[in-house]
Amino acid sequence: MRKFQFNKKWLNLSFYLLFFGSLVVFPFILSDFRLNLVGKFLAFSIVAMGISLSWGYTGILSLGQGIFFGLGAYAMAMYLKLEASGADLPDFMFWNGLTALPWFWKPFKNPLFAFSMVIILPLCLALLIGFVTFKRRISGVYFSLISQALTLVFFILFIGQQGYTGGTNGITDFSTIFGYRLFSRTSQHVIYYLTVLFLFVLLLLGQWLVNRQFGKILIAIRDRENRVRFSGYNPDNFKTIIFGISAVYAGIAGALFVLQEGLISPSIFGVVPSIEMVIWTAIGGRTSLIGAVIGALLVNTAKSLLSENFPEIWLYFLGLLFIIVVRFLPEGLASLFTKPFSSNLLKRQKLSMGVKHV
Amino acid sequence: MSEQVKHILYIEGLTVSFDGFKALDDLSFYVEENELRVVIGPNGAGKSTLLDVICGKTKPEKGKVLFYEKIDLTKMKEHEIARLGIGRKFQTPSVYEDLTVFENLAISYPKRKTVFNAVFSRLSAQDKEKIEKVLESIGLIDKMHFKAGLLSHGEKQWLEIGMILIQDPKLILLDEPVAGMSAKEREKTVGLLKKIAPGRSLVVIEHDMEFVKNIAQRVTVLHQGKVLCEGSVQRVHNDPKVQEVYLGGYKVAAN
Repeated sequence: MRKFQFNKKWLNLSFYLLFFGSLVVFPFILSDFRLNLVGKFLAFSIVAMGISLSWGYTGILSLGQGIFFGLGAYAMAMYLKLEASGADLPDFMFWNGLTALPWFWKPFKNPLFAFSMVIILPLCLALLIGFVTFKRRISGVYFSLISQALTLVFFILFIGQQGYTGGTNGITDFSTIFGYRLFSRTSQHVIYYLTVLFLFVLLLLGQWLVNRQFGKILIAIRDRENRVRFSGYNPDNFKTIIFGISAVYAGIAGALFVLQEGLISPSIFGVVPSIEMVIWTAIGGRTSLIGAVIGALLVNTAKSLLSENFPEIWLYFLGLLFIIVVRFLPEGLASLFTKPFSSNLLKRQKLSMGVKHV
Repeated sequence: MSEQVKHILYIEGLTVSFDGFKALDDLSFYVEENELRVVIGPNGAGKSTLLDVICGKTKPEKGKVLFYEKIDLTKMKEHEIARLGIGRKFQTPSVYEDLTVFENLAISYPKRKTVFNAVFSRLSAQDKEKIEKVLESIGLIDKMHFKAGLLSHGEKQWLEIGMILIQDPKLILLDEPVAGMSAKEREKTVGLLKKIAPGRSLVVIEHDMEFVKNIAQRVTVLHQGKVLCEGSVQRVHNDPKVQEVYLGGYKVAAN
């Protein structure tokens, strides 16, 4: 038994080494185009980790992570756009007949303000949503539906307020950061490594959180919220906080994404992308942070390879993959590695009889 | 402490309705300090509803529910009531299947109930000792690193009793603690309850008459949301009204 655990520990460690090791060498072996894709997928992985924390560990299925991703992305894009516009009004405002910069745009000239908004905006919104819904004991599928409705609201709002948000086109056409060219090789490498660093730090933070008493309570809330109440905890607070944390993950991811995509628009954070984010997490394994990361990387890699070669049927592949995983590996691909294989087969059989939690 | 009998639980005029159906109807129910009370009654008599009201899960339509004759429980939330020292065990075993036996107890430990503390503080050696003591008394010390989901039905029930025990509550509410247990497990549970009873009050809902006889000091019989009869096991057992409603009209063989 002990020997087995010892081996498992080394296996784990070598996996992480291999994973982050290959991320570090990618800039030397991948083309700029491919590296840019990997960088964006890594940003998506950060969203998936947040979903793993709130859904996998706590049972809060949010179909609105796109909102937080979008907020982080827009906060970053607003700063970049203002830098690109210099003393002028951003072009899309001019086209929409605005004559002066709206008051809420002004502080985004300051990079420190903009970067902190990447975290603060999603956090505050998530805390507010969490406070209102969890206090009223809205949970499960009702919470999911509300979060999806909110995503649609934001989507429509961002499209409708063209003069302030750039509408359907979103915020585009920015090419510098701190005076450097955003899409030069060096900048992109720096941003790529920054993304890897964030992924690493947020993975450690998430691991640390779930290994504390806090993480055990999250699992307890997921499985038996009532029991937790009668043990003297107020689960509403725990749920609100973890939902806030997952929103921060999504916000940071959004900002990193913008830096590598060069634009942000409502279609990137809408209802369908929000669902896709959940699918990455489900496929990788919602109860494993690294599983969620791998899920986001795998699905997006498959998506880009398949859509390059079979653009029409790509979505069917995704659907098929999702069905296979949900049917045979309800805990995602990660469960292939985290559990002994024999018991895994058994559990799979049992779980497939009825899904344990939504 | 005064010499006067003090009620740890003082319930008067309690009414709870669900869509017009009165689950509890102007019920009065008193439990003294250090008392072990058993509540019996046919299905739908309102036994579980009574426990739900005490622990804050259900809010009553009217009536008084006082803890130590002064704290009004009807105004409080579940977790606040739990923190006062009222522990509840559910009818079906409610343990956290995905956590180990030890973690189940560590979570139930009465410290670190806020988010901040749950993130930043750790179990002290003293806390661990206390958890291990409880593990010993519920007989699960050898299985402390097992996931709770792997335990047998009886072991889960004991674990849940342990989770309540570690909160060191003044009042324990147990909903059918021996349901579904084998004779041997039942015996062990009786021993466990007798061991934990001193120094606190227990309210136990149970159907199993053998168990009731073994453990009860006083028995309250509920019927249609009201107290039908209250007294010693023998008295309740011989009460014709009780035999009528609870035992389905059959005369129980004298034993």
